[in-house]
Amino acid sequence: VEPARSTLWRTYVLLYSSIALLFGLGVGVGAVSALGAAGLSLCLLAWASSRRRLRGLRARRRLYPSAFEEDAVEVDVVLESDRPARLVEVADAFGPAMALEQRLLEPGPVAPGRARQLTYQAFCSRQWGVHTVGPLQLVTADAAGLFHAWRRFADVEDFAVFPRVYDVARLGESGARPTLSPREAAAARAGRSLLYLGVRDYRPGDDLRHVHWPASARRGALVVKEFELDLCPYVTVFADFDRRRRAGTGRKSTFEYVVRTAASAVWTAVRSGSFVQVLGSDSRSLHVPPGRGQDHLTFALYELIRAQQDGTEPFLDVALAALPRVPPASTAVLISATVFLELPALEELLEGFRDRAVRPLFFLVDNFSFPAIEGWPPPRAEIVERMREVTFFLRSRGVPVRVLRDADDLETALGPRGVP
Amino acid sequence: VRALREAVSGAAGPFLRARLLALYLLSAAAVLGAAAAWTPRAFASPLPPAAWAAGLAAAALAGAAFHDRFAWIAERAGRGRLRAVGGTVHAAVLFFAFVGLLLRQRDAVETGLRWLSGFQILLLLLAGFGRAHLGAVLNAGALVVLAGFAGGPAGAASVVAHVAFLVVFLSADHVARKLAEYPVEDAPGAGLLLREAGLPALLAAAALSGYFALVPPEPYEVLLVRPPGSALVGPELLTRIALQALGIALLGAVAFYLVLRWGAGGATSGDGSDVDRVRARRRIDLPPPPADLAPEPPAEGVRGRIIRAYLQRVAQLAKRGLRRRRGQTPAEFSARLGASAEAGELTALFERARYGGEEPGEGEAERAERALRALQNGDSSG
Repeated sequence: VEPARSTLWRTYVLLYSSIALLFGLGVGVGAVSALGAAGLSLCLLAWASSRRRLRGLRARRRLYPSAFEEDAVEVDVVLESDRPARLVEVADAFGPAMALEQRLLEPGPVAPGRARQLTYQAFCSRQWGVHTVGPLQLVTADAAGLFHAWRRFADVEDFAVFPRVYDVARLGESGARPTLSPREAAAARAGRSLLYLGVRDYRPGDDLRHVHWPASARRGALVVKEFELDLCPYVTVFADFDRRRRAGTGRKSTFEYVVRTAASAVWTAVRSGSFVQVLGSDSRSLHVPPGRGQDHLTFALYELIRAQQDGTEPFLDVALAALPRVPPASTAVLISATVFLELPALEELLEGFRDRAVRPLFFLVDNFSFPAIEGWPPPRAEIVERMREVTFFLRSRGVPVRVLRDADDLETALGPRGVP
Repeated sequence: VRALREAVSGAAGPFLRARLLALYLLSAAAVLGAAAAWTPRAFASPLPPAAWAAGLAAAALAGAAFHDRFAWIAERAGRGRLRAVGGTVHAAVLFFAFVGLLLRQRDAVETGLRWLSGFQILLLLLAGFGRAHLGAVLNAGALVVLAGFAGGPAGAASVVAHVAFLVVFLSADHVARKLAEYPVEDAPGAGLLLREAGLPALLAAAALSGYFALVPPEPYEVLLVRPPGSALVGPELLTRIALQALGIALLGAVAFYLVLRWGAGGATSGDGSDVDRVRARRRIDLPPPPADLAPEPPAEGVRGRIIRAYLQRVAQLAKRGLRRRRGQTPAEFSARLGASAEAGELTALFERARYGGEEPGEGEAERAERALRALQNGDSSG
């Protein structure tokens, strides 16, 4: 890809020199033909020079391969040369950005045997998904900029753009199991946490190291310090990828809402130190095994953005089948792509959760609020009636539920005002 | 002076100044060279050449200084319309001068030269505004061709100077445009131009001077054959001129086609809106590439099999967004992932093969490959 301006001068010099040469030769004027010949010779030298400058130049990219939507990403390009190089243009195709190509200039000199690192900032303007970055291209020109030479480096790599995530309210109050290993989450019950809970009378068997001596002196009897109970929060996210629930397109679609809500739930849970696993009803039976920390978050989000809305099994059946994988005293976040849930299956699922002391949290995406892409939606009155029925059913059993519609802003809907 | 300083400030400032200077020298060489070649009597006194040189300098400086204040005139009048009118007038004068030349009418040529020299002042003023560089160069080129027709030392000098200054002008223009196009942290100094353009310009000038020393340029044959002042052109000469003109037109058309076909091609998406020109933060003189990200050294035999199995796994994880960070040991990487038993075994085998002193056995290589297969199967089923 060449800048247009250099093409103008190149056209001029070539045209002027050719005409001068022919004119000079035609009418037998030595000075004019020499002028033309000199111009053409300079063009030839410029062409060779542009190619010569490219020799020995190498470039490679260093990039962390994932970011969130609308994030600014720093991309490092390392430039090396076997000979002093100047005015080198570097073009990189950063797929997640709107612009097809990011171009930067290294004025030089790049010393031979040393590497020059150039860092540019790009923005993930495109929607979440797996994009490509590269190839890298180096462009050099002769001193007069008449000719350009370029070399492409097949340095193409995948770059994952994760959906923008929002904090999900009430997930912090999620179910958790007591643990003896120190955790960030703790409950105001007696345990072995580092967090101070209060004091109580000494009981035989209490560790003498926990005696609160000033309080014991004041009361005249031994008093021991009590600490909070460490908790191991555990969240299971169920995402509905049933193909029959497809509705809407692009950013306003059931798929989009399910993925974004699932990603937000995973993000919130991981940030609060929870163990998180993800189960999906797509054709490849998405399963992200339990884990915690930044790397696990990356892994879970990466699996989520690769999911397809191509599942064939009903969501509640998938959730029921995966019930043994949900640990007792944990939280289950269920993101359904429809409000038309079968109440008997729902009852059975809630029973299963209750037996395992699992605390469920439901998000129902109203697929009929999005433009239908196959079939006709039922009458509005029926949808409203069914929605009321399902939400009443859930709320009457103490299960928090939130219905998400196409007009909803997810940040608000998932926030404290959205989740009841 | 302040306006001039502001006009040529910024990263590209030194190169904008150099470009203006080169264009001025190019114009002065063309105007004075043509005048010296055709009207040597005008050089009897130093005043006329000095007046031309001063006029050209004043135009260039005035254009650069008042470029912001007068840019609106060009915008208001319509750039396309101005180009059309200017181009037509210029073409008419050129035609007049060249017909005069072919018909041996020296007065017509000299009048044409005066007009073209006047144009050069105007074009230099516009070039100072940041426009019409092509017009100034084109007009200077026409003047140099006319000087070449007159031949002699003045014509030769005009050609030599034109080529040398054109190289400097194009180089300065190239660097100035690049620096104006891209945001850069620290721009190179004007010394770059001396290195980049100085040598080619000197070489071109030396080569041309050598050629003209060996083959002194003669004036156009027609000017020699007939003494100036004879009234009519005979049918024989007229036929010859017509044939020459036809031949030149045909050759010119072929050259024009070839240049447009092979010389002027090239996509122009570099100027399109789908290209983002971004600022690059530079870190100068980096140490050699970090060892932890560099490819592992090649290994042969059983050791190589284990290392390859591990690297294959690392590459698979990198594709899934889990990349080993700089400074992270294999064990740390494995621990951060909350790795499975197979992953732990593969990492341990790799560490022994890569860093251990003893040569691993066949059984260990098989265990590593089995662990890799198990991990891959786990990926596909999960």
